Amino acid sequence: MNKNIPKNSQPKDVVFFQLFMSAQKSLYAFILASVHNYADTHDILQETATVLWRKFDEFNPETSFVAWGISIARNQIRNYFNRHRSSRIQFDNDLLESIEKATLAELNHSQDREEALKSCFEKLSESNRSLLNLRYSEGMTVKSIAFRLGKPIQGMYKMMARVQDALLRCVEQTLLGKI
Amino acid sequence: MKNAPEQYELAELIQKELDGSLTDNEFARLESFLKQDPRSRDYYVKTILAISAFYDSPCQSLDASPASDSFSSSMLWALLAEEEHTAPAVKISKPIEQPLANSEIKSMNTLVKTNKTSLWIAIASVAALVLMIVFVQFGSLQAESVATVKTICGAQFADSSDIRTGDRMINQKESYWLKKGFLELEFDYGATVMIEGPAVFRLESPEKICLDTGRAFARIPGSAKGFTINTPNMTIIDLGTEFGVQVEIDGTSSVHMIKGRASLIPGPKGKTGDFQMLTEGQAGRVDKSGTIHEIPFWNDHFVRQFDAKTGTAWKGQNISLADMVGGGNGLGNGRQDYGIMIETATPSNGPLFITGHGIKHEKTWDTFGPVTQIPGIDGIFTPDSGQGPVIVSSQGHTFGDCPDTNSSWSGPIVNGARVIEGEFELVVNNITYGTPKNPALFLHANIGITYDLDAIRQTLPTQQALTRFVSSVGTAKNIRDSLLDVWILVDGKVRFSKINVAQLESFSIDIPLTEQDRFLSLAVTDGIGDKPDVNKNVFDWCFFCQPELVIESK
Repeated sequence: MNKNIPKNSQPKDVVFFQLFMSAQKSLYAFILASVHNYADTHDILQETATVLWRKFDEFNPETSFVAWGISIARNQIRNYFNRHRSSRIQFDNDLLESIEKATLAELNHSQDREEALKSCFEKLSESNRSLLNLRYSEGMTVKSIAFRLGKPIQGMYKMMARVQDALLRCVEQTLLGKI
Repeated sequence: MKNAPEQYELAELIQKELDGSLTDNEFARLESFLKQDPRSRDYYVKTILAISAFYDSPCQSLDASPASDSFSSSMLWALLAEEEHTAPAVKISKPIEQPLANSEIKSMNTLVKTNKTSLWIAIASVAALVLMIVFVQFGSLQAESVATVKTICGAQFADSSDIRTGDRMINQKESYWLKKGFLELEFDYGATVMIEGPAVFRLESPEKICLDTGRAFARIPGSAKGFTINTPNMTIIDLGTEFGVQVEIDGTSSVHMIKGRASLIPGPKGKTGDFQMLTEGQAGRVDKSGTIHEIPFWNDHFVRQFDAKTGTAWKGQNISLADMVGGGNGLGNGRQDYGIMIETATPSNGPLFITGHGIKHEKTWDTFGPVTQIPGIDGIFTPDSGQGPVIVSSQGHTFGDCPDTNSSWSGPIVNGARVIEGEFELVVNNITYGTPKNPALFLHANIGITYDLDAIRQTLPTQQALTRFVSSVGTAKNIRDSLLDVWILVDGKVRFSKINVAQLESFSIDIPLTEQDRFLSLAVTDGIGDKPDVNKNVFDWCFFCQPELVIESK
């Protein structure tokens, strides 16, 4: 997760852009794990990006942009929960901290995980790849997919869960070197 | 999490959680899993990370340069523009410098949004390029409908499509070619776009339209920030605004910001260069080379709303009271130099002169003459308190402060300034009035005219209100002894007056109006000055120059 950024003479906005693009996946994962729904994750990522840009002069380029970004994101998540206390189901603070710690630990292996994910994705059946694409690439809710395909909603949740689980087990086994 | 069934249950709960469709009991069950079992937490985190991997383009691992992810790159450009740390004002003829290495904007979908599905629409544009999945098992998937037809009038499509109000429009690959007419679309994202034929356009998503040629006006509420219009050589990312965009056949594109602000990113689709922020009252043109030029702002060039019943296109212009006297609806379809005959309180059958009528006081109506043929005009009256209460509206409102005049009037009420003999040019504050471009409303003492604001409100586009009456006033004739009084009444009450206005004198009027105000009256009376016994009707010419009711959003 540590990415020391060399000095460069590019304009400030370009430097920020490059750093943020490299870090955004980690930030997204961190926020999604805490907030656990897509729409709110996107809003918080927007807010985080805004704060990071505003405070970019404070960033020490010898340190990790991702780490800095996550610290900002953590505050944004807290602010978000405070604003939506009455309207959002939220994990309690202890659980939130545990999830954050676990996420940070996993982000250290993000590159290996991503390569394993690509490999495992290719190994899925065509129909399962299609399902995951509908879900994560096309951005459809499970309910929408079920409606489109004429399937019962609960059954589609079960199917999606099993496909996701299969992908995850393959990734874990790949990382353990068993495949 | 002890066994496979529990693992599947956890996986299912995670899927529901992502959609925000967990019941309270299911959330409690999920929370219990995560709190009590470290392996469940571990499973949860790894699932989230696997899902997150779809968020960003794996192309980025092959191409280390920025902005290969269209969602994030365009989001960041807009973010940087919004923060205005680096976005300059619209530059003049700044040549495009070498664009950022490999910077691209493929599709848009960014910025603050509250629509819960828009996140996935954004992700789709990135991941679909990477994964390139072909759907076979799950049956054929149809193109998605992204907008609803809100208004359609006189529209003719090249493929003879029979499109009607309420129809859903899909994001088909082929362009729509609107040969003529007007088509207003309400996108699922919340934006409304009025397209004026001839125009060629494509609907890409609930958040994006591509205008290849033609003219369009976009109204984007704050909740739909991020809506984007692409043209052949620029991208406009909205930040909560109203703007018009015009694309010429050669691809030259221009944007006129009516309200709010937007990011203007020049360059053909797929490329991006430096971006600019446009704010209200600014306009920019992007030429084929991608250079942004500052151009004059057009406030009333784009059709914002179209009334299919009356066939009236509203381009943001105010309601002209002079135009109404010429028999028009206030939007420019009145006739120049036509007016209202005082004798009969009826519209004239031909052009009128402001001179050559002598001083008269014969009329066929009593204290108030209803004008029934022009919907927005309630009637006319002769202001003279010496004859009793001066009724100024069909509802019986009276002009209590009316002076005692001789009831004599001279000449009709005219949308113009033509004289019967000699040369005369109405110039007030260095502007020539009495033309279609700069209309003037002529009233000679002693006469008044009342407009029915409620009737006018019924013709307004939706969500628009009459907020003010504005006008310049000039006498513009250097005649000795010319002296008049100007009165502006609302429901009979004086809101403005200026007494003993002399020749060549001019001034401005700006009166706020509310939804409760019903009748607006303009009246001119004979100024008395210091010689009350002298008949001073002669040459009491009063011109209301560009008298307008201002229309603003509610």
